[in-house]
Amino acid sequence: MSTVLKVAGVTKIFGGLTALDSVSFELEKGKVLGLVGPNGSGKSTLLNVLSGVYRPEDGSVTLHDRNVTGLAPYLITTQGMARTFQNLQLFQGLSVGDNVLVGRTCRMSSTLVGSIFGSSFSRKEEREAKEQARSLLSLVGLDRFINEPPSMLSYGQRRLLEIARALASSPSVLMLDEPCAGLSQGEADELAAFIRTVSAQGTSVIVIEHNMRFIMGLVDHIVALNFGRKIAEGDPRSIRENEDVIAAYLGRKKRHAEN
Amino acid sequence: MTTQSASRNIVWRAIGIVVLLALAIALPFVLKSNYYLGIAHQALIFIILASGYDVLLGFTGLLSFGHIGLFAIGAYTSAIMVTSTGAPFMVGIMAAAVLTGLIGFLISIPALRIKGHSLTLLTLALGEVIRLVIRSMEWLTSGSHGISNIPRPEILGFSFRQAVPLYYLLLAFAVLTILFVWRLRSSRFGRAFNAIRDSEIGADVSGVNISAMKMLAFAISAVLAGIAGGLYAHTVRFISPEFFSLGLTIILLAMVLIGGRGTIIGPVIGAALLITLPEALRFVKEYYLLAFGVAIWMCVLLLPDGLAGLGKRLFKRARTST
Ligand SMILES: Nc1ncnc2c1ncn2[C@@H]1O[C@H](COP(=O)(O)OP(=O)(O)OP(=O)(O)O)[C@@H](O)[C@H]1O
Ligand SMILES: [Mg+2]
Repeated sequence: MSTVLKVAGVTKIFGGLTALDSVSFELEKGKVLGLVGPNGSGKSTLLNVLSGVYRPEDGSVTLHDRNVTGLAPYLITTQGMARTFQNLQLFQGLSVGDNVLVGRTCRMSSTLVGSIFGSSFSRKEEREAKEQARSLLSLVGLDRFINEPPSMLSYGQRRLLEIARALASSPSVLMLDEPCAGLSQGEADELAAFIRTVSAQGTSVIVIEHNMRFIMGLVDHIVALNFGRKIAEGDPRSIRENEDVIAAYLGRKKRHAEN
Repeated sequence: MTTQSASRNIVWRAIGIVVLLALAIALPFVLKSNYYLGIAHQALIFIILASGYDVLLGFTGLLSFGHIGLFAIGAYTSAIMVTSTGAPFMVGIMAAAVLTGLIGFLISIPALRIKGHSLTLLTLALGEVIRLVIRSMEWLTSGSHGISNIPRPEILGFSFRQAVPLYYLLLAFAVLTILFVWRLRSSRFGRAFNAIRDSEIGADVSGVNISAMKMLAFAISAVLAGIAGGLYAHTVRFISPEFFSLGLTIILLAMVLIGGRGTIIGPVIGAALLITLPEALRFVKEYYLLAFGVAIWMCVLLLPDGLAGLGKRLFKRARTST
């Protein structure tokens, strides 16, 4: 199996708070990696570093043997890593179909003049992008909304739309921040099946999720964080039985209970 | 929306466009006096200016108060080229487009770092600085006296001195501008502009090069401002710094907001309306700016997507109730 993504010693500091403390892990092609940990443990921060939204104080991110540490988000997406947000970031003024098409931007190369005058290259590129958007939307069951604004969608459907937009750039690594938030158990099961087909086609996936049933049934490998530090790593079963992980979750709960 | 009703919408839209175009072509047959044709000239020029401004404001979500400065540079560039070097009209217009495009591109560089209110203030200052520079560079612009006797357009020996041919020339420029903006919006560039407007971070991680796209939006809207400025100079034949004031900036903003930003037709309606309305409302002339203020305010409160958006909603309601 080939390693697609290599994260080494990533450290992120906000003021005095060390949100990530020398986190390292690797991701193989076509595998699904679960990122777990209590609230505030640094999961979203890690995704933000990987996607270029934050620049790490230390450490490196290597994609396909290319160092992508600290690159601007759009360049990282161009290199092959796409993501969704915990709080959605859709384009409300664009149709559902156009939202997905924007995700394709970095794979399109028609010039301004070509687009305005409808050169045969730009028309072909546009047609192919639209075909891809339509098939992505039908994969997530949203093709009938293609001309509607995202405001017509339910919360769960919006999450699916964001995933479709991320997939439009044909990423080799797809990163999902709490994709089950707002989904019913049935929808979450469908999403898990969908992520499995995506990974079966060779896309590696990193998924942050609190829904343990979802994580345990879906992922190949888990990285557990607590206070920005990696406290455990392994297959789902070993993580479920790991004492540090149990203590981290219980510890937080206990402190919550005391408050 | 089903594909059937979507294609019926396209048919309705096509009918609307044909009717509007036919009206625009027929207008000189109705407006016999040069005075009214003069107002129509202004309306067409401001349609070009407002459509370009909307690329920035409505498409990309960038509020600039310096746009009239670019319009002024376009007007002066073409006027000076043609009056002092005897260059042909089209060369003057092209020089105006190139120079304003370049300046628009330069403006966009600080605009990438500065956001929100600070950017708006910066562009506000810039527009005023441009006007002051034009006024003080007397050797080139004859300062506050302005430039007079600017010739009417002439292309390959064909003169557009008369009001009716000039009307059709300006109409051609306006139609080309609208076609351009329409093609732009449905291209990957237009989608990227809209994405930046709606969520910058979302656009960034979707692979949109935000800086490059903002620069492009600034440059495109500046080029259109330059062309509109050049056309303005050769239409009214006299320009002076006072015309390109902050008041005009507010009117331009009102055109786009009242018409409906981010829509193709909105700035067209807004510009046509706000140029012709003062004539219709001559009796309230003193209170005209006040009425403007109230209109902008009401639009922001009641019609967030302007008259174009209102029309669309009424159309939808009529369609669903039948
Ligand atoms: N931009 C920021 N500035 C300052 N502190 C931040 C910033 N982003 C995150 N943090 C802090 O970093 C820590 C980790 O936050 P993060 O959002 O990564 O947690 P998380 O594991 O995603 O939690 P949750 O499960 O609640 O989403 C928290 O203490 C948070 O307050
Ligand atoms: Mg989080």
